[in-house]
Amino acid sequence: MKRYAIICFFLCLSMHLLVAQNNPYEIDDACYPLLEEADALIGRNGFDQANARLLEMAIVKGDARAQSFYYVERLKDLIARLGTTSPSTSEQDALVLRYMEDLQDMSLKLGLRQFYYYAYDLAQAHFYNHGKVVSTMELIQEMQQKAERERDDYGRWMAARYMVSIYVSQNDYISAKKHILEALRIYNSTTEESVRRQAVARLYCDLADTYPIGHDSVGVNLRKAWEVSSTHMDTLRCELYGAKLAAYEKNIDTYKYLRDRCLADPRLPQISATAPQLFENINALVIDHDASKIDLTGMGSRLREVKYIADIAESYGFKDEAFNLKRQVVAFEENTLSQINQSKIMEMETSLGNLRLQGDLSREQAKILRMVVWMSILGVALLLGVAVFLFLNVRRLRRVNGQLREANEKVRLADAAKTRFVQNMSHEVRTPLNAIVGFSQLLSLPDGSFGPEEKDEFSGHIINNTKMLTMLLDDILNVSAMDSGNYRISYEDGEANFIAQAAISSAEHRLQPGVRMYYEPESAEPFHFRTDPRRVQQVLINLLTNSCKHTSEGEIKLSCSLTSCPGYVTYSVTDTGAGVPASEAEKIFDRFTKLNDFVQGTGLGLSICRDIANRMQARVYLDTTFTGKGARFVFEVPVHPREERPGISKNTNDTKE
Amino acid sequence: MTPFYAQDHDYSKYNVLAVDDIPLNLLLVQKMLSKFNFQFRTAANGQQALDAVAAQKPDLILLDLMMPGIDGFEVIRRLREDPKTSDVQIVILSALNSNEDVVKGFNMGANDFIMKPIIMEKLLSCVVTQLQLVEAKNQK
Repeated sequence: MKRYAIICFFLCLSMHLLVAQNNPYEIDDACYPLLEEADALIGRNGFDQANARLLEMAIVKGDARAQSFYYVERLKDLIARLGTTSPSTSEQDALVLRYMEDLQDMSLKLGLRQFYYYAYDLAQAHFYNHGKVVSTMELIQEMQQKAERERDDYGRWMAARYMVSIYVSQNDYISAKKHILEALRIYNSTTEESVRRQAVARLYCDLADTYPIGHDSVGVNLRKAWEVSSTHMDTLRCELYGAKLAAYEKNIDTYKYLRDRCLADPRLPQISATAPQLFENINALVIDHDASKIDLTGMGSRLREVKYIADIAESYGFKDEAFNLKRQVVAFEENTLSQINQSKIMEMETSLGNLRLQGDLSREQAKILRMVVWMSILGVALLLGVAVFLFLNVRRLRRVNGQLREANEKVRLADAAKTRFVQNMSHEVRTPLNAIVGFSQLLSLPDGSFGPEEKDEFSGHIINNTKMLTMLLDDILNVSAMDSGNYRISYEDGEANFIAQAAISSAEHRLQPGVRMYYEPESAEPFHFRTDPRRVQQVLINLLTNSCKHTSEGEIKLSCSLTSCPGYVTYSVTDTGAGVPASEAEKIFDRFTKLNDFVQGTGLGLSICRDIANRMQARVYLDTTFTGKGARFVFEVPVHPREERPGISKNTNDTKE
Repeated sequence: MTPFYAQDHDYSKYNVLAVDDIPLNLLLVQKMLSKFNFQFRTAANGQQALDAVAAQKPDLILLDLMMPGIDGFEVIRRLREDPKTSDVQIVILSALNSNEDVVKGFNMGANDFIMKPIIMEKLLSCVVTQLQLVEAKNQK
């Protein structure tokens, strides 16, 4: 763990360098002291309040950079609190990642790209400090991919730098070299100012370190490092590496000069805490030529330096010591590697377990999601069903309502018609009754009032009106019989012309004065067919009577045709009367309907015609195509009717026939 | 008691118009009133009635209500509207027998209402009464 702490130190150092180079923070003057204060309190009590004050001031001043620093400080504080010693829990890691993403979101929003990668920087340091090498590498790879995607040299540079740090700390110099070269390539090819400002001296030093000490490239790279050194620290680092190289190359004076310069520098521990011991050991070999003075206390983990001491010992002829040291290095390397691998394996297993757990969770979630989806589909289907049901129901109700309203209207009309019928009946009955009662009174007057011829005439009127009254009552009884079903058609032989003539003679007495009524057959030849002659005659009489009522001048013609409608005997009644509007053509066949209430009649005649026609499979209708004055009614009687048989007929009870 | 119409009185000076669309009814009324020897005229509908009145104003009109075309009520209305004919005596002879029709007839200006079937005694006394009223008016 100590190893990681050191690396952390290095990383923090590099971060500080970065900040130092951007120094001052380029934030508002009022925010600056607050940032300093918060920074000083990191990991300690009172940090939250100090940081909140920074945010408040940043918002007041409208300083975006200062706001970003709030998130930076928050992340730094969290990482500091989590420390480096105890292993972090996955919750803590998640919190770190969340704070990191907060900072990144903010930096994206504010367009401060450096903070975006800086967030990775801080977070990966946390993971590294807790020995989570895999997670650290993943985070850095993520950062690198992001940088690649956005063609951001700064991000790529930083990623490469961190990879170098990690591999160096693991003594994996082969991998480290790859990333050093990558970082240098980025540095040399970029025009990015933020990258160009970075110090590359250390990278050259590290590169030099990746070669065996006797290799030519060591010197080459150290020289390069020297050339690009821009800070005191870089120079110091070059001097330290230079001293090591001089010692190996047996360049004692140079070694001594550089060694003394290094040891004299107070900042040497910042570069290498073990540098004094290293120099002691080199001194023992190079100056004192006494291998027994080699003391590796405190250098156990500085594998590279132990290896270096072994190399020097070898170059100065201390073969045994060199061999021992190298064996120690190998053993330690093996040990370290197995440790590192162990921890890597452990971490991977943990993350594998986490993944598996997540897998289980997501499977559960998927199951729940599937259930929710199905439930939703069911719910939607149910809702749709209910909606459709309601819609249909409403439509049905509306239809039923309409039907009810219609039925109600029909009942109301029927009721009104019935009332009118009763009034009409009263009038109709009183008309013949008037004649009967009146002429009877005249007959009963004392002798001498009227002569015998007159009395005969009166008797004739009485008899006629009695007949009319009887017919009227028959009409009413017919209607009533049809309503109750006691009405039968009885088929027998009939003759078309005879029926018509009989109808004419029955209706003649209803003619108004000056009106002529006559029969016009198509052919005088008798035509016999199976029918109910009385019913046919009744229909014709009704039609003729109807015409009589409405015709006050002109003529009424009854005609008969066998050809106008094949299979039917077609009677037609044509008058020159008031006529019927086409719109009323059907209405007049309704019961109790009269076009003119002040024309005598029960309003039953035509409705009786229609009823009889229906029962005989015949048709009776107003000819609406008739264009002459008056009206033309048509009555078509089938020549071969389907005869009602008592067994099938609606009514087997024929007592009333 | 001898019916008053049997009294010796000359009724032949009165002009009576009977209106009915059924010829038999006109015949009946004519026969019933035959002994008075009225100047008796008939009309078969409302229009004929109005024409007859226009030709010569009768003393008494015996009017049926239910007729095609211009009905009895309309005839009364038109006669009462015209100042020349507004005072003519009108007796309704109708088969309409509901109270509403009777009241309507009187409200429109009919002087009496006789229901069909006609009872002869009733008709004669009514006619005589109406003619006495005419006589009284003429004497004023």
